[in-house]
Order: sequence, then structure tokens, then C-alpha cells
Amino acid sequence: MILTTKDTIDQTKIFDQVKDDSCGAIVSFTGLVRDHNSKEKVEGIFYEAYDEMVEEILKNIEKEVFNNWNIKKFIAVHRTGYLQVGEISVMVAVSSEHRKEAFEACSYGIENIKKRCPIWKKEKTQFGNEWIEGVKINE
Amino acid sequence: MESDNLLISIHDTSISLKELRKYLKELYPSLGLNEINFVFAVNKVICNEDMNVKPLDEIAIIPPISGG
Repeated sequence: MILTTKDTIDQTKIFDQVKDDSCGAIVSFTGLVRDHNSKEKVEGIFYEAYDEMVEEILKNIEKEVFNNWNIKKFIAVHRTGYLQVGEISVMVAVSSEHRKEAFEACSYGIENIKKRCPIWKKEKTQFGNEWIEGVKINE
Repeated sequence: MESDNLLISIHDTSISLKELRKYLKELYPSLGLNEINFVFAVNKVICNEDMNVKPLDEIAIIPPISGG
């Protein structure tokens, strides 16, 4: 399962979806909205995505993960819209027979989401809203 | 810009992304394209700027990303 969503990301539901009786390991990464940046207090983050392109890229990342690691299931979900401090912005979860593959595949998944998915964030602070200076998209 | 979409008419039958970059900067200074380091995606794929675009291609301007 790979998608962008405006709905709250439910960790328990994702855990249940990625779980498989043939697997002895689940590794997941959960990204959260932090209450500060390097200078000031953050109240929330507005995420905007080019959804259709993000879903194409997530499909590619999913294929790469299955080609490179012997894993059972891969889930990647990125939230969009306004999120308050403490809410989940992104989750990647992988199940595999043994832990090594799941750790590596999960790490590859989140690193590539950050490098390749056209998603942008605007932080809300007491001084107003500011787009975060990002990185050039990686082909 | 009020809208997420911009429909532009180009009289040439073929235009490269490099030419489109120049055209957009000149005709739409309000987009602020001189100030950002962006790349183009055509039909949801990041493309080299030597590539020519065709009628009805979906062209996106992708500024630096910050997901996660």
C-alpha cells in the first residue's frame, strides 16, 4: 500500500496490514511534526504534495525495494494538509522473514521518499507561516 | 498566483523545456522563477531540459522538496 492521504495515519492499522504470519520482523519509520525548528517554536506544518506524481514515485520505490530485498510487505503513506505538533506526517513499514532485510528496506524507503517525492512543507510559527527551504529533487 | 494551474498558449509546434524556462521567466515574472532552483516534470517524470514538450503534456515546476 502506497499513497498520500489527508486522513490521520493510524499506526496500529498499518502494523496490522504489514504483519504476515510468514514474517518474524516488522520495521517501521514514523515521521512526526516537531514542536520547534532551529530558531523558534513550531505550532504545526502544512504539507502540500503533487499527489499523482508522488504516487508514481512511491510505486517505483516499492518496486525497487521488492527487487533488492527479500521482504513480504511494504507500506508507505505520506500525509498532506495541516498537521499539528505530534501528528504523524509519514510512515514506512516493512515485514520480512528476518530483521536485516526489513531494516534495510525501510531505511531505503524513507530516504528515497525524502529525496524523490514532490512534497513541500510550510511551518506555522508565532511569527507567521514560512515555506521550508528544501533540497533539489533527485531523479 | 491564485491557481495551481496555468494554461499557456505557445505558437511554436515544438518547444524545449530550456526554451519554456526562458519563456516563463520573461512572461510570468510574478512566478518568481528567477529566485528558485526548480526542475521540470513532464507527465510526472523529471526531465532533462533538452527535451521537447508536446501539446497536452502536463508540465510541472518542481521547486526544492521538503517532504518527510
